[in-house]
Amino acid sequence: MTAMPELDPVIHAQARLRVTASLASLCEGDKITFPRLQELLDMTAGNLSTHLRKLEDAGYVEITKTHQRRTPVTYVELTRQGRRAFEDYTAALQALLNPANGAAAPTDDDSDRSPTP
Amino acid sequence: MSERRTDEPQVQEGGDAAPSAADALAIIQQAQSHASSRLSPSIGVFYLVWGVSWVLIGLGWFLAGIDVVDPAVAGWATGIAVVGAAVVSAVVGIRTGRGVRGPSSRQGLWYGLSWPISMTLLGVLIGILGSRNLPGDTMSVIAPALYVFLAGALYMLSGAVWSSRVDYVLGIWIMVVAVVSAAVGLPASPLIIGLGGGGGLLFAGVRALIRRSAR
Repeated sequence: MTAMPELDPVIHAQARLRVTASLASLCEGDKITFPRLQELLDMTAGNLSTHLRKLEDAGYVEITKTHQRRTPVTYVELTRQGRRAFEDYTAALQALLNPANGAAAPTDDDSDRSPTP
Repeated sequence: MSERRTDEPQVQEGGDAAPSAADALAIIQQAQSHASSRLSPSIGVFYLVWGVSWVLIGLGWFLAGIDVVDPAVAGWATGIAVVGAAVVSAVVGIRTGRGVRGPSSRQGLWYGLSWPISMTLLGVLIGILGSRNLPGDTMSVIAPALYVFLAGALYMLSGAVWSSRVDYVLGIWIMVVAVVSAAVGLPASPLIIGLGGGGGLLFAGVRALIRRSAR
């Protein structure tokens, strides 16, 4: 497990992996506010900002600052490039873990609504 | 928040360490199931709240029909049950979607509003039908059956939109209940709706909550 040359180093760190995975579970085009994301991930604001900045520098995350009734709101979303990078990363992981059969199909759970229509 | 920590791969505050491939996959799965369970409403709560509401309404009108309770009591119970369940649904729906903006929140809003809009318009339609002096107790059988049928159709459509088999099957079941209630007629029709439709909702609710907590 020492040699993992194909794994994207921007994503392949515990905290950024959680951030990216959570953002990827949103529908494409959906944005989430910084505080809601922070609450979802249970991370400190400083720590989350640090990791978001790295993802933003890589072009994986887009951060939009806007105003809602004069209150500043920060929205975070995965860019198309970021979503693509996350998919490639997951595929690389699957390939590393089961080199024989490649990527395992994701299981579909019908007990609840999937977030994507 | 604390319960999910137990089987979680260790995540330090800094979070810059590279996990093993297996840990990375576990982190992804854990983060995604956590995020989607927080960001999509707990459907089980909706089913349960409406299931209780339907049972109360059905029992109320059945008992009123066999002169056990005053129809005014059944009327009030219906109003309270519908408004209560609608408020709970709206609050749960809005709370889960907070902080998220984009195509899915617009979809959620339109979906949520399609219920009160179509039910209100059906109420107007039923009012018009009621003013036509239809024979005997036709309206007291047809009116509830129409509401129930519309609810079933909406559930079926939500099943199709959110690819939820439970919603889809439940919708069909509820439409069948509506048809059977109209075929059987008074005094049993409210009981069929309450126990058949409400029972179906309660079953789906319990099933969804068990499934969700098992994740």
